Amino acid sequence: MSTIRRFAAGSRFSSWQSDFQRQESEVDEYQRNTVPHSNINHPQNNSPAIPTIGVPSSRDQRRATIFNRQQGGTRSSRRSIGTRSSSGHGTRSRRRSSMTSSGGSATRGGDHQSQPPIEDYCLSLYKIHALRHVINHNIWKGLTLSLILVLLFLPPINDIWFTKSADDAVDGVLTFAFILLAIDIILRCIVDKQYFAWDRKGHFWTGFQDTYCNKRCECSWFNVHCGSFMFWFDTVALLTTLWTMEYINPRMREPHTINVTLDEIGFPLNGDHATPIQFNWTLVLAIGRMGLMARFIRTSILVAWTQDINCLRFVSPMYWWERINSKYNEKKEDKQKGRPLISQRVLASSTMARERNSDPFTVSALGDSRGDLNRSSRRDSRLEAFAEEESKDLDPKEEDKPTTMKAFFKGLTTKKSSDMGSDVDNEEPTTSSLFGNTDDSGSHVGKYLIPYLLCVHCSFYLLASLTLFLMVLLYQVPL
Amino acid sequence: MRELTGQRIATGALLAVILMVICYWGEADTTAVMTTLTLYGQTANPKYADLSVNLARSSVIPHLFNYTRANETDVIFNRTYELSSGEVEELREREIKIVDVYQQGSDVYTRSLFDDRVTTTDNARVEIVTMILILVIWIMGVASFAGPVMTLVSFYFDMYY
Repeated sequence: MSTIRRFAAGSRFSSWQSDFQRQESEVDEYQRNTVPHSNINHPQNNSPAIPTIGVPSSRDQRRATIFNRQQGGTRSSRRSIGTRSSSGHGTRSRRRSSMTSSGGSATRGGDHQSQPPIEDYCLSLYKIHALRHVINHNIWKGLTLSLILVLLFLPPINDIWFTKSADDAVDGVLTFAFILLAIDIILRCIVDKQYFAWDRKGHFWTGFQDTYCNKRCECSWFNVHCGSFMFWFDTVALLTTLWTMEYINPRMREPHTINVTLDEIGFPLNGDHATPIQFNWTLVLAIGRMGLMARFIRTSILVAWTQDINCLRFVSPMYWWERINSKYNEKKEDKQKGRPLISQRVLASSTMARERNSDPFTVSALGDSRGDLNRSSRRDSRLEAFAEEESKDLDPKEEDKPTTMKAFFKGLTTKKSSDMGSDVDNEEPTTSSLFGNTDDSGSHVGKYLIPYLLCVHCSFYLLASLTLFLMVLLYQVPL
Repeated sequence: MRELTGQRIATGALLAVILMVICYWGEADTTAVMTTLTLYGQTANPKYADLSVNLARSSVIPHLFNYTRANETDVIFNRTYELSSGEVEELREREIKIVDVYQQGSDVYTRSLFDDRVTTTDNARVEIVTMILILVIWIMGVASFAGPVMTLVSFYFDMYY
């Protein structure tokens, strides 16, 4: 899939202009020879397939054929599972066009006999591709990311470190960022039908089918499914940033005023001070602003990154405890028994196992480079004795099948650096078994709860010291 | 599927933090308000007005920088203090808290001006920390929940299709 995406991206950025010219001529020819546009998406229509920009290669067609044969679905239905709606390049948008076309019967899981339709854009194809090229360019992405960070963090930074004289400049920067991000959203609405389309029906932004809307909802002026997940996140989060601008938010231009009225005797009536519970709307809006980061937190990149380094285990204090404790205990035992360190035994045993295994291209042989680094240790007869002793405990069948799927996924989900289990005995629970990626889902839940625990501990609130200080005041007032 | 998982994690993380803020019960600090109410009665006597305000500022309301007692025509009592840090002109409007006390059947009122910069600064710090916290939760949630989905499901798609 990544290869296909790279192919699609390459074809998009390198030769998008020539593709556009070719496609435009084909579209013109098609529009001259075939039926009106409203009938294109209909399943009974047998109009010829239109080659699109980023034309599906033979590999792509083969993928679709395989999927149709095994899943019984369509390409569009399969891609609706695992694609991201934020990026608006042409290939992906074309692939999803069966869902976003103007035809009212268009659904993701439509008939696989239907042909890929032409999307109805308000601009010409040349302009559409030019806009797509702009918003997918790295400079534009970097600019939007920096502006989003400005919108997120500049208002509190202004309150903390900047003086009053900087307010106008801050408002100017925030306004500029807001306008540019609004333009970005508008451009994405224009060029990406999957991002936003008035006739986008049948699916919530969560991906679930809305069968009721498919049957009943015919209102084109109010379509609850018009926006995708990214669209709603971007729009709502961007609108919340208006609250931080001083010339828009009246509460930022006025002092906080509390009016207290006393009755004729002198007792306070109900007022602002009589409500002991306070609610921080500003903080809620600040949380809502974080939705702007949704487009930059890419799940695939993040998962690949965290899978490689397995960084989540460092969050847990149990990891450090196990690591320190096991190291200390093993060294202590080795000193007492006069045995070599367990890391040396592991190295020797892995080297011995590799010698017995004649196939050098196994996963264990490729993944274990410690034997190469410490080849001289094989000459130590004392170590070899321990290695023989440990290698006897291994099941030869298990040792001979390191290329099975289980071993392969184990190799994928465990860290391959030297700090992973090098000094930890196999008989004890290792860090990988305690804090692995896929073995124990409960450990992930525990890690997920740690930030909430930190949040509760780091919560900020004012202490109600009224009673104490009032007593101090009354003590000092002379009678 | 992994993208859907990531989207739902993002939605869940934001909703969780928003609900946490909404469901948070925080007792409002009414020290300034209640002290001003007390001063309303104590400053009615001109002999003790200045002493009462000075004592109040030195003990419970150190951020008070102006106290005025007046009626519709005249200013009866006025006391101004210097800020501990900076000038009054450097305060933003939103960094000033005003407490007005009125009494039914009387035209006398008091107005107290407080330097609320500490609260504003602390709220801004909380805002920054909360946003960083959301990012951490988001990244950890995606890595923890979408990671297995990607490994067990999407990996097969990439390998065989």
